[in-house]
Amino acid sequence: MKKNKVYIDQDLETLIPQYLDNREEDIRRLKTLIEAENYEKIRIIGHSLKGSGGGYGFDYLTELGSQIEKNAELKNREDIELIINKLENYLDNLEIIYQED
Amino acid sequence: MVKINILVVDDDRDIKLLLESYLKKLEVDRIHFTETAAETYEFLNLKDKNNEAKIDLIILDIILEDEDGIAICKKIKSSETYQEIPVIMVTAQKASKFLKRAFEAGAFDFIKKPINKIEFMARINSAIKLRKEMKKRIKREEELLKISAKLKAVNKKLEKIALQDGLTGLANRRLFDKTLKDELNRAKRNKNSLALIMADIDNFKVYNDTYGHQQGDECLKKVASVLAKNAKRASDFSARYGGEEFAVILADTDKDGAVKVAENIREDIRELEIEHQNSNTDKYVTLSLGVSCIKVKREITEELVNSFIEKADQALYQAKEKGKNRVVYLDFE
Repeated sequence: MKKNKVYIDQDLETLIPQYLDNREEDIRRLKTLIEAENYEKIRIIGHSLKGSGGGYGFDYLTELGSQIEKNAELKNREDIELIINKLENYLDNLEIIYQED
Repeated sequence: MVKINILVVDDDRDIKLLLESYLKKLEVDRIHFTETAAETYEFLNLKDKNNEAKIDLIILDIILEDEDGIAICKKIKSSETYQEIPVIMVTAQKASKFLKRAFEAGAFDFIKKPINKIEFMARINSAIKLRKEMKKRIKREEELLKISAKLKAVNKKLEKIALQDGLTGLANRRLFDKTLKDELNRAKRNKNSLALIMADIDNFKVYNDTYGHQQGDECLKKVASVLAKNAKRASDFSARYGGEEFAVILADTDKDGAVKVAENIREDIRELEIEHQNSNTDKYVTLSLGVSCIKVKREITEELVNSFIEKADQALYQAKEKGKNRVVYLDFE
């Protein structure tokens, strides 16, 4: 059973699959970047996620993006890895309900 | 209908897709995208001055990776073409210091990330409405300018018509009166003498009766062109005084000079050999001329102007009395 219910404007329905695919790609890149300890690129991914998440209706993604950005600035590898896990978990258990605004 | 083209400057593909889907719901004709500062400048053709703005609204994401959004905004706003185009900045930055800088850079409005659909639509819509009004106003102003230029040209033409004799193209009586007064004043200032020639076509009534009014008009035109040819200095002035009567004002000209010009005119008219079979003077059209000269010492009054004209007219009358086709000179005072 999926537990992360998200209500999204139905105008965005056609955009959501691509958006979520892009987040899977974020996770793959973040895992590679954390191995390389490339914190600047990690920060940029966090910053972008912070900017886009809420816009698409995923407020939690904005929250996680913000955390990634902050921890990348501090080069906090362990915390970043924890956040990446949270991100994966969230996306895996997503239930989207489209509604009129 | 006023068309609205929007440019979105953003390097985040997810945001671009989101903005595009919202903008498509608004009254927008085209949506363009650029990702970098350089690409934006090139797209807007900022180097080329005085080109027409091809974009009506710019949505600018502040955090681009290569160049600061504020710097881009400043650069766009400093171009002549785009200084009036609203720029709306989008950013995840919350600091009011950032806001201040954005507005100082010329931003029209500011939208925070994450983007809220309702807020985004409302703000973009108001910018679009404003821009539409602006475009309408610019168009109206352009039309007004065109109309006012036309009006000016027409006025100039009217002015000319009002001071010109329609048949001969010479100055008319109204312009003659003004010019004579002006020239008298100038002559007084410069302590020069001023000459006036009054000329009248001999037996013109008979000419009209013989050849008809159309021929009469042709005759008047020919006489007028002889006058214009002889009064050829920039300061010389010839006018149709009325009917078959003409006048020539010669600035800085004394008795001898004026009589010589008058004599030349008389000869030139005779040499046109315009047939005049019922004239009791000659078999061709002839002209009588009265000349007077003035050295102005007193105040220029209407009385003085009139008596100067009167003097040249008396000379003309004497020329007629003495048998026409001749020049008579009378001193003024």
